[in-house]
Amino acid sequence: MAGHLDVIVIGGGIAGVAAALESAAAGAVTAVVRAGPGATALASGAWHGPLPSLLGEALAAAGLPHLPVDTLLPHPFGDLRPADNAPATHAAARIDEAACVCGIAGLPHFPAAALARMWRAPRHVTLALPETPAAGWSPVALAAALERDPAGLIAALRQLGAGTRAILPAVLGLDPLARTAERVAAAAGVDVAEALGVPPSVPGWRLDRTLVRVLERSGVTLLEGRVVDRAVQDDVVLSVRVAVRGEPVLRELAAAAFVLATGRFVGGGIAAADGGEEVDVARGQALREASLVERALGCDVWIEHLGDRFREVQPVPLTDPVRAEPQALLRAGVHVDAAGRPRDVQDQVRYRNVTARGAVVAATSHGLGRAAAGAAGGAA
Amino acid sequence: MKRRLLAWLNLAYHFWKHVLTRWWLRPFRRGRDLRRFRAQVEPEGYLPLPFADRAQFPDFMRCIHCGLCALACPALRAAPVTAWVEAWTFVAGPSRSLDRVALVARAAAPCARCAVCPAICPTGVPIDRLAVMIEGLAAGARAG
Ligand SMILES: Cc1cc2nc3c(=O)[nH]c(=O)nc-3n(C[C@H](O)[C@H](O)[C@H](O)COP(=O)(O)OP(=O)(O)OC[C@H]3O[C@@H](n4cnc5c(N)ncnc54)[C@H](O)[C@@H]3O)c2cc1C
Ligand code: SF4
Ligand code: SF4
Repeated sequence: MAGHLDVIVIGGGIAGVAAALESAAAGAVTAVVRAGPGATALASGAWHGPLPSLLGEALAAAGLPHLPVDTLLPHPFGDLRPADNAPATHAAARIDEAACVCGIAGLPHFPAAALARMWRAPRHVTLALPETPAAGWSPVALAAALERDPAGLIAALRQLGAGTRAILPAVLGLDPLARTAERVAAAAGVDVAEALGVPPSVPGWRLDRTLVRVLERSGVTLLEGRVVDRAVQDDVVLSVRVAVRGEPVLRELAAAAFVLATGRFVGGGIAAADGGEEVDVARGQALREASLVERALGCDVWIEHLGDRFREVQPVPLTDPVRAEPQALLRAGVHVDAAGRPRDVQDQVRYRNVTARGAVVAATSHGLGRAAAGAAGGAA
Repeated sequence: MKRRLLAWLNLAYHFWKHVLTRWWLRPFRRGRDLRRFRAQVEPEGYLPLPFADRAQFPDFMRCIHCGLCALACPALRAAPVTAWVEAWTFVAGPSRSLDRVALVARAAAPCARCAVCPAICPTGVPIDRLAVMIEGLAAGARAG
């Protein structure tokens, strides 16, 4: 990557891609540094929170249009869940008189009869595909197989009769550009919809792949690597050092502004400090006592725990044994001001040219839409 | 009270029986005890692990069952009809059990020249090292 960069976005989940799109649309030369998939790739297909229009259009153009959801969506745990938006195949999964829950022989964790009872669907059937592996299907293997050749599934669905809406597990292809669900529906003569997914989540994978495409199409440079260090002068980040995948030496990337979108625990933005190993290089200070650290830029981590608001001198218990409310640990992250800039223990802005976004921000509530919304929206 | 007394007497009897009849024989028995132990536990599916293998388990235990390794796995996608054990199921699952080790090792065979999933794992589980260990266990099981 040669030349000058205006903005470096650290993290390529939904929050990082949304930020990069906005930055590129505003004319800034933008790069995303991303270590790999994060929590975004585990999502079920239900989109909680608002869908920013720029992102919605970009997702649609890259092959994964999202639609507003006006019904409850069936989840393979047996419940029906609200969602604000969803990819078309999930948004269509309305449970009514036309719905027929379709299990697939050999695919575990999608028992059609039990799910139909719990979702209150009138019909269910378990479809047998021509070649079922002796040890059963992995959802990944099945999604790849159906993307290659859906003929067996089409033949089985034809038996259901016109006017049926087949509610299938989320295995209709790994790549949304293959349009597997559309092909199946057209050839089988029935409506086809997918239930939500659980990890290994095919819907989450589709979203993550599509986000990479969105970046490619929007002129944003994508660098696969992990920010491991940074150079700071006063309260400004000058550059970050990146361990690029497959390269033995670190690359140093400078920019005028940085977006911290590294996610929480799954993304790796917030992590437990490994005793004395974590050293805040910029401040030359060992983080031995800190119980949680923000890895990329060394921002202070806010832990809402029994009245504590920031990292403690003594290790604090990170979970509350009384589980009446969601664990405070799941709201840990960096604390931001109204402009989204991380604040430190003294409540001062830590870096003037950094904004944090998405799940790395403390107290953000769960959801793709809330992570994708701007800094202020994310800090709710 | 009486039962407790009997229990203590029973324990004392077996302790001294062991000391008098077995313990001093140990130098002469050379591995027979280990063979007897293995004969007891191996049909149950448990393999004694060498220390170096055991030391790796904390790394394997970082798995959060996110399934990203399975989603990224080229072998799993290419598997149209064959069964394929997803990497995370052998990370998380009882891969130490003898009865599963052979199955899992067969599934882990494509991992020998592949580094896709260790690179994608968000918690850095060294899945490739686990595959090597499982192959070793399976070879040991065949030999033993
Ligand atoms: C299991 C699970 C299921 C969920 N299901 C749903 C759902 O169905 N619907 C919904 O709306 N929400 C769901 N959520 C919540 C939603 O997924 C998250 O709120 C959202 O994805 C957070 O996005 P993010 O971009 O902030 O973080 P992430 O998606 O975690 O992205 C973080 C990114 O930062 C990168 N990164 C981290 N550290 C570095 C570094 N040092 N250098 C470079 N890159 C780095 C990571 O590789 C990753 O690309 C779910 C969450 C989980 C955990
Ligand atoms: S990618 Fe890593 S953490 Fe996720 S299931 Fe696989 S081994 Fe476990
Ligand atoms: S190392 Fe093995 S399990 Fe992992 S991606 Fe490669 S073939 Fe699949």
